[in-house]
Amino acid sequence: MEFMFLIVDRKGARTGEPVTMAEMGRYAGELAQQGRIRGGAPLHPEAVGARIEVRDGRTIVTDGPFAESREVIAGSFIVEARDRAEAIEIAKRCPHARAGIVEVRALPDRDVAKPGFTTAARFEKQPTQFMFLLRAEPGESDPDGSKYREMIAYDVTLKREGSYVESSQLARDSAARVEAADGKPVVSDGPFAETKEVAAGYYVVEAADRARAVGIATRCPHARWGSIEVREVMKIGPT
Amino acid sequence: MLATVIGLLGDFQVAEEAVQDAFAVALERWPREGWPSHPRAWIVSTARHKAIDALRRAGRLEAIRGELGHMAESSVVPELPDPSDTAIPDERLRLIFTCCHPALAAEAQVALALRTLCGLTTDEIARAFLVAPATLAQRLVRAKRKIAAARIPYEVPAPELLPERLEAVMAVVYLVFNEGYAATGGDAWVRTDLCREAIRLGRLLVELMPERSEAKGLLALMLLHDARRGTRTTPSGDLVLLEDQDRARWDRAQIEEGRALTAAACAAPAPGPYALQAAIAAEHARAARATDTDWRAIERLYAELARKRPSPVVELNRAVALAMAEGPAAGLARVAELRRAGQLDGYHLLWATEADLLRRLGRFDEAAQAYRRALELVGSEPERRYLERRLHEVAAR
Repeated sequence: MEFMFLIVDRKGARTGEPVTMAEMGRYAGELAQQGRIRGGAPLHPEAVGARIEVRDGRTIVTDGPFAESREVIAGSFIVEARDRAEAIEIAKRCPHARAGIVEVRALPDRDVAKPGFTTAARFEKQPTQFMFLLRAEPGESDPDGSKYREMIAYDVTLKREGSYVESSQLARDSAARVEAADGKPVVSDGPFAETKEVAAGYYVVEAADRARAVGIATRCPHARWGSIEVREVMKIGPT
Repeated sequence: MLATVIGLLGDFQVAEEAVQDAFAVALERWPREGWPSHPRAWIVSTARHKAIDALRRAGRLEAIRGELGHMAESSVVPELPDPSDTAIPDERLRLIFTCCHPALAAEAQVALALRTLCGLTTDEIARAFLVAPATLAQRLVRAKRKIAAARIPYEVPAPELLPERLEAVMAVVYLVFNEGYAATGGDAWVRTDLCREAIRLGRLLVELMPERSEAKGLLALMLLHDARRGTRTTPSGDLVLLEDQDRARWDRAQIEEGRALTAAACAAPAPGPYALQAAIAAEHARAARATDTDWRAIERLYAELARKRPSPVVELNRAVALAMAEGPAAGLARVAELRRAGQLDGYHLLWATEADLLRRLGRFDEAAQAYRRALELVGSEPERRYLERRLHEVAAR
């Protein structure tokens, strides 16, 4: 089973010593050696990101940082684990768990069109990628499946255009968070009272620059009933 | 048959179970009551009724009634041709395009195609791709649900979409083939023969779409590669280079078939990438001995392929062909250009190629350096052993 570990920071508050990229790199290396890494990458800061909503036909693009949010996603790992329990054990070993939050979300239907969203080095030059974090409004639903069908049509369009790298829903019922309390990792189950914005899914797309990425996100049907945060993926490995 | 019922009900999962039920009833009743005059129509009709019952019990009939309920409930059984056992070509074509619909994840397309078109069991598919059977079963269930929930139309795509969609289908078939081709040594006997299944799917495409020359190109390419499969590794799993393979053990009948298909595919106005790759494979197969290979022709084919599908890997292969046609120095100049462009820095074959050309020019120290670089990057064990042997050779000079 595949899980996404969201690396989450609480704004303003920081517990424990800060974690270095080197430590996170070593953690990623261990996971890679165990054959558990399936993808994931750090993201460029929120300050250079954007949020998109489309309401009544109007596109609203807000530049980061996003004052109204109390948490920020700094990156992700995609990890293979036998089940939720094992995934949580692996998440506890993430260095970030002592300084912030590691959120564990099952990926029920990860669709990968191009291998490319990964912390491991690949041999071809890495194209510029952007991650879309889809957030849902509480109480939003899809009774007749029409929203689902619109999203599928959007996926097909992106695949045809060549920008689609991968996407998945982030399962909500089984969400878990790992963070440190008194120097020990503590696990809590969702829903999480601190945030009203639930990350419902993600895309990774290829786009030459931020403006083009924003354009692709604007066309996503989800922008009409939720919000989409656009963040550039940090390039690591051979560039 | 499954295809027809799927067409009526639009839901793979329900259709599959219903057809199984219908067959179970048939096996029980027909020996007693005699064969119905149109067995196929009987099965379809029975399956449909069983499916309707099942859906009703699950409370889902209402949900699909809007789209398909009226079809499922109608008493008109679609006109079926002669009840011989050949499947209706049209139905199978629709099934192929549905299985390989771009809305489905690539892995799901592969699993669905092998399950519904090749009739492999979930266990066989799981073993072939080295995943747990439960994982694969889930993948199939999710794919079928997605087809129903997304209302993916069960149809051959419209003419303006057909070329692109056919490309997607061929990509799935070729993926299956490459997965099977990569299986070497110890695990090969355990893994289901994916090459055979891919070739079967390739034949189906050529049979169902005879006017599409790229389908011929794909089948040709697979047949030509497959013909050499037995000679690619030693019994202990070491690599055997193309130039060292025992050509007497290549499957001549398959090569002849491959060459005929290649000719047909290349006769088309604009031969596509599969046809061109098949033509390259055909050049190798044509040569009775490695030294008879027409490398100049191969280099020209790579050049054309690079124009159609620009890629640094194609350029690298072209450099190898150039080296064989005009000598290592010519090839080395090309490889140096590719290195400067920087796109293949992490690709072990770039360094292995450079090392090989330097070795042939007697520049042993530089060759050793390049072999070392390749060894840092190489993935598979057989290739690692090969590179280490070469490094040992040049280091000793």
